[in-house]
Amino acid sequence: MEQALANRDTFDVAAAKGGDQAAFERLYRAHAGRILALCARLTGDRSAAEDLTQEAFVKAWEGLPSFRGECAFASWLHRVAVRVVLDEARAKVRRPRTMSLVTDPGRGPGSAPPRAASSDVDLERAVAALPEGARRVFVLHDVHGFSHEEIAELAGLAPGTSKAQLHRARKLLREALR
Amino acid sequence: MMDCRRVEALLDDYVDGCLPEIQAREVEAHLGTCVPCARSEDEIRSLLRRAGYLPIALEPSRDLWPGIEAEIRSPRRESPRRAGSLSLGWLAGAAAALVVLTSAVTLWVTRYPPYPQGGMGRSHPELAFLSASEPDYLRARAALLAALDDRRASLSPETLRVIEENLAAMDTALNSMKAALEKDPGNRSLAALIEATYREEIRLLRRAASLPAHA
Repeated sequence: MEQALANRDTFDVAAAKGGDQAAFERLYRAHAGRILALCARLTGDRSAAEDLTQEAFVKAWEGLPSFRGECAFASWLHRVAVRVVLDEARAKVRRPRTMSLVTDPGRGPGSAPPRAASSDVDLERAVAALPEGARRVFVLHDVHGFSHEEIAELAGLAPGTSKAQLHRARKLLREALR
Repeated sequence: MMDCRRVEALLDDYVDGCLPEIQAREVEAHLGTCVPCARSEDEIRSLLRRAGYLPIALEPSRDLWPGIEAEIRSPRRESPRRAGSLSLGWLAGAAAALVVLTSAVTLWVTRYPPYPQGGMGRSHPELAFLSASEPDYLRARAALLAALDDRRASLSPETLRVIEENLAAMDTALNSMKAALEKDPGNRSLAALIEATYREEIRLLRRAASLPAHA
């Protein structure tokens, strides 16, 4: 499934780099759900996340010439989205968090088998309630699989700070979910 | 023996498998004897399992594409297309130039081999590279041809005719170079030329596959 997606991306990325907006729309359709989930968890604000998802795809379109295929397009796109979220956070005062994310936990392709919905909802709520720095690192590391080195580079942190934030996040979540 | 405070500080790295082996063994030994720390370990592992089950995608409440499309069509947004337009004329011209070049060089190389026959010993790095990379080129070529095939309906008959004629001409040039290489297997110039031709063919196919609809 992941490999098939990556293969299909290869052609659409090449076409989009040549200016083909239809190919870029296919890339959007394939990845929008994952990018939205990432933005929603990073911000804790579903409505802001949709705007940030749009902005991430616009930035990706502009940045396509610099994408050389050294990593999967999906990984590159996730990094673009993280930068957009962090840039936005730096640029303005945080919007109030309204975690509508938990009311619409749509499952995307490749996600794990369904479990008790309340378990997911409890965790989403607890994640949304984390302090911002801890939430970002937990979401990037434990939900979306970024390494501490990647997080450090994207967020302008030392890897040790990323580890400390993760430790804090896990501790707070364990307490919240007991 | 580690105490609970030390174990608590190392527990995340332990669960993530990031501790050096000696430290990991010490943490493990402590966990085997300390119920509260073992409970903490279970909680972290349980949390990670639950995080792994969270949905990796969410459905947008509205279609976000129109907003994206409006932005990327806006003149203030730079198109990813590089300087130089992607035109059918460019494609035809580049392909024709490649065919003329490869045919001329094939003729030259086969008439005037740069190395004496059999005089290169057993080691031919270019030949080894060609045989190692050829399957990759062929796979990429097949995939791009399939992608082009999928887009057949969105391209004009004239575009398709130019693309197909040029691909056929390039294949002819490649076949003649391969035949020449079979007769002169030590000819490094031919091997390098075949590899360069594959690269060019892939580049042209990518360009062709990315032509805008109705081109």
